[in-house]
Amino acid sequence: MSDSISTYADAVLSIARAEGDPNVEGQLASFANALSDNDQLSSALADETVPVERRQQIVEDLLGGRASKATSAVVSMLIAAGRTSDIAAISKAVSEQGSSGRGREFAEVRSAVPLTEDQTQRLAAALKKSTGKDVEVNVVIDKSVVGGLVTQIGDTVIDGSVRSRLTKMRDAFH
Amino acid sequence: MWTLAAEGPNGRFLPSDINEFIWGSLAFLVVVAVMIWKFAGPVKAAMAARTARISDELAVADNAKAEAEAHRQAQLAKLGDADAEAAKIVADARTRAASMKTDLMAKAESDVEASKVKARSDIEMSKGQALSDIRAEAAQNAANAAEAVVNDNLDDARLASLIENYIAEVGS
Repeated sequence: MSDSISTYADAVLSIARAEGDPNVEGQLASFANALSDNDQLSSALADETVPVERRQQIVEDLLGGRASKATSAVVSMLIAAGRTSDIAAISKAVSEQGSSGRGREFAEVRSAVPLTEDQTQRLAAALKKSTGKDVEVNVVIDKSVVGGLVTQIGDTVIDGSVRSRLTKMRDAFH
Repeated sequence: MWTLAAEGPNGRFLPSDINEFIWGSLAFLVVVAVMIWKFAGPVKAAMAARTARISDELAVADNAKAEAEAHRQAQLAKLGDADAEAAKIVADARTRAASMKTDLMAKAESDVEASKVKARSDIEMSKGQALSDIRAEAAQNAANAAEAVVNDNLDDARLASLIENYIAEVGS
C-alpha cells in the first residue's frame, strides 16, 4: 500500500469518526464496487476536462438519499483531489484499517456477482472457522472471476474462482 | 783474316798495318776482359735475381691459379648446393601444397558436413516450432471453446452453487 493511499484512508476514517458515522466504510466500499463495475461512470468522474463541481454534482445525484452526508463528502473530497482512480484502493485500505481498529481480520472477497447478506455472514463464519479469527468481509464485484470466489486475508489467498480453474485448464492444454 | 792481314791492306776489310790489327785486337780483348771482370758478377746476380723474381712470380701465379681453382671448385660446390637447395625447396613446396590440398579438402568436406547438419537442425527446429505453434493454437482454441462453454452454462443457479460450494469448502 502506498503512503498516499494510507494517508487518504486515515483521512476518511478521521472524517467518519468526527461525524460519528459508522456507515462510511461500507458505503464507500459499495461506491467503489459500483465504480469498478461501471466504466462509463468511472471515466466521467476521472475526466479532468469536466469541472470538479460538475463531477461532484454527479456524485451527489448518485448517492443522494442512498449514502450518508459524511460518505458523500468523502467521495467528493477524493474526486476533487483527483483520486477517482484510487477510490477502490482507498476503500480497501479504509476497510483494512477499520477492521484492524475493531480487532478483526479484513477479508477482501472478489466475486462475479453480489453476495446476499446471508452468504456474506456464512462466508465470514467459514473464514473464522478456517483462520480462527474474527473476520470482516468486504465483497468486491470482479467480473474477471467469472464464477466462485477469491478471498484475500493478509497475504493469504483462497482462490476458488472459475477463472483460476480455466487458467489451470489452459496451462494443462499447453 | 790473319793471312789476309799479312798479305797487306786491301782497303776494304783489313787495315794497311798488321800491328794496328794486332794491337786493336788486343785492346778489344782487354776491354772484353775488363767488362767481363767488372760486369759478369752483377749481370749474373741480376740474372739470378730475375730468375728468382720470375720464379716467385710463377709461384704467386701458381698460388693464384690454385686459389682460383679452389674458388672455382667452391663456386661449383655452391652451385651444387644451390641446386640441391632449390630441389629441396621445390620438394618442400610440393609437400606443403599436397598437405594444404589435403587440409583444404578436409575442411571443405567438414564445412559441407557442418552445413548439412545445420540445415537438418534448422529444418528440425522449424518443424518443431511449426508443431509447437500448431499445438499452441489448438490448445488456445480448445481453451477458448471450453471457456465459452463454461460461460454459457454459468447461469444464476450455477453461480450461486459455486459460491455455496466455496463457503462449504472454506468452512470444512
